[in-house]
Amino acid sequence: MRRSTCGSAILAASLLGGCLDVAEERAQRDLEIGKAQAGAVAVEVVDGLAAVRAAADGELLLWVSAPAIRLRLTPAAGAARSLRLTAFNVLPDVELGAKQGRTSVTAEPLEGEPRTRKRWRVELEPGVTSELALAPSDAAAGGPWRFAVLSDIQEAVDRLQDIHRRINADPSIRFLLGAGDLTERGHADELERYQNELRALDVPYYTTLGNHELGENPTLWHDYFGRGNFHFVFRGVTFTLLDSASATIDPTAYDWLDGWLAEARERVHLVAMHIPPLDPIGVRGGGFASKNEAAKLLTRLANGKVDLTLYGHIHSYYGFENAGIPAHISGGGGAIPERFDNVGRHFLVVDVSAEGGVSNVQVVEVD
Amino acid sequence: MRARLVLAASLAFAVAPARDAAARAQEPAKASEARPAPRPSAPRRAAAVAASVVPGFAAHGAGHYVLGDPRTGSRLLIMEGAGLGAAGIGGLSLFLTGASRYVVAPLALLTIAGAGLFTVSWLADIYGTAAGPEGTGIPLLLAPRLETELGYRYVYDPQFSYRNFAVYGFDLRYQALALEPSAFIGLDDGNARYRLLGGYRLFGARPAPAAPARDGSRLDLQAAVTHHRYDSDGFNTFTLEAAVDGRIDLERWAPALRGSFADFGAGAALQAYDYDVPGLELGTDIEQLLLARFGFGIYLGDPATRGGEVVFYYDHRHDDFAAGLKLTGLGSGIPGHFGVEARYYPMKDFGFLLEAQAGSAYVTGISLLYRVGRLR
Repeated sequence: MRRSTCGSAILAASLLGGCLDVAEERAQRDLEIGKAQAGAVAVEVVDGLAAVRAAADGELLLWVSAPAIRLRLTPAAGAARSLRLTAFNVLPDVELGAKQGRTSVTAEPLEGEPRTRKRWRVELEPGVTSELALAPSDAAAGGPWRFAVLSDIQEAVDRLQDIHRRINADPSIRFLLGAGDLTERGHADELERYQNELRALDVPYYTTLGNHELGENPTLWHDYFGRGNFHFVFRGVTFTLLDSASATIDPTAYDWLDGWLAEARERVHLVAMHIPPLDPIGVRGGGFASKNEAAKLLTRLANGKVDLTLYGHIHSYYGFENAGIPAHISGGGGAIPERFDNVGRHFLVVDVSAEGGVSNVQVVEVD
Repeated sequence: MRARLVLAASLAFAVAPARDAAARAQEPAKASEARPAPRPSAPRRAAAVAASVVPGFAAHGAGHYVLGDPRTGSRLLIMEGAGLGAAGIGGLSLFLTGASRYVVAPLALLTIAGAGLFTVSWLADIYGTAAGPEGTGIPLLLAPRLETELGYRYVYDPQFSYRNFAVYGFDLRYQALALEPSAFIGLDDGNARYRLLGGYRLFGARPAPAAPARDGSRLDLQAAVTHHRYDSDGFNTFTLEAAVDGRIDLERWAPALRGSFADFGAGAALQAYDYDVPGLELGTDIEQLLLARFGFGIYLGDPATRGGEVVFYYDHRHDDFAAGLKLTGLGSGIPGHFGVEARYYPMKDFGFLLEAQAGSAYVTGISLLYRVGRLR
């Protein structure tokens, strides 16, 4: 089904010079995330679950997008064996471990930095690929646990601090999940600012992007925070985040989604994206550009036995069902709110377990 | 003051046309008398066409000012102002209310109507300067009793595997009533759309033996039911809708615009999404849908003998094959699609239709038309 769209555009395309593959560039950028060369060491983050923020001889800096990731490091034969690995946006109790016998890892203190930033010294075996696991000790444990959801901050970044304090006040929250629109226009200074604000958050923030992140350069987001389409498993629960920032999902990402759905079919599976497929207030048109695509996506999710869908984009809170799947729209990060609905800034707290699924979704009002 | 009177008179003209049809049929001659008498030279007309584009895009009516027809120019400028005002008020209100569920429908309609007035006034300026005082054609004043359509559509949507459709339909009219069943049948995929539209014409061309309409202006009340099967994709939709659909010949607004028209429509729909997932009872999702449409078109020749019309339009629908435009950025998901449709009858009974749409998909195709009924 994948074809060159603009290339085969027919007469109607000339009406607007329009293009149907508006998310293709971002999906292709997803494929490059997590791959770099740190001097003589080839770096690959499995599944692209971290953005390489800096890579130089003996130095590697990652922005991590999931609670547990795997790294493959391959130093050239005869190359320097030592690498200093710094990871931002990690769980405070994360540990770096090596699977190979001759690769050693030593934690290094990172003075004055937030709890979500860690550093290690890694000694590698030249010419041999070392696989390292960056994960907390309970990454594969069962039992109930909790995460929070926050989206649509945009121009309200100056008021983000009290939301972070509220999240920090609940030590049972393992991480914050986001459905996009962290910034107003996705400019580099806004992304920098948001990254700095996250220093005050005691847990990592794993998020996809929203339509407000596409203003300057559609893939600038990826340089900072990694993939727009990705999935990870934590404590037996699968999370899939999709890039619906252009009110559509790229066909390439649908191919990935099919694989992720098949893989998680027997597990608890939560799916998050920015623009919801169908806006519960249909006359508003806050959903996908094509309601047909929306229905096709929901059919896929239902077929994959997804347990919960989480959306942003609409600056209010809605709890509903789509294709029989419980759905929550939470755009309570502070962006211009939907008026007259008595819903202010808020975030969601979700209780989940691999054994029992989603047991509770609670709206935490901040204002 | 004069502008306000012109606007008031024109609005009254547009919304209260329910006068006796026979009397109305006598009136076009009066309208043509108001057209500026001197014919502009070819260079001046060329300059006017250029001016209608630049600076006409910003100042609608500029072309007619250059042409020496300030009356039409000022009317188009008024239309542009009204459009910008409506779109501005609607858009700003949507922004300030966060597109609140309680006000979004009227505000969105106001915004779309404003965009429609803006678009129509600009295209009308270009048309009026380029087409000359006689215009490009005239409308049908009597509707055919029956018009049938048999055609083909190519639909390119990267999210779906269907591409080729056969199209069948007819438009049966009796006095003010219309019945329009149609079907899109997928030739290479399990996809089919069946639609039945019923209409009541409040005014405008009706089939003989009704008296001829005054012009091509019309106003219809419409109700439709659509069943769209996506068998290959595991879902289907059922849509109930009600709408007002109309056309105003722009000669009513300014005589120099003879031969052009503006289309408009607004309504609402309820949609049921039914998902077919083996082993699961998923229930049905119910969605509302805002219907809004505007277009600018021109008549070509005399459609009763050899002629037709072509219309460029915006349709806010997000649920048909073309659906909404794919945009990157702040407007993602909001706009509907654009299209152009041309109908032409090279002979009295047989004609053809060409169509192209651009939204989330590209749709294009051709249909053979056959009509029955007295047209004069």
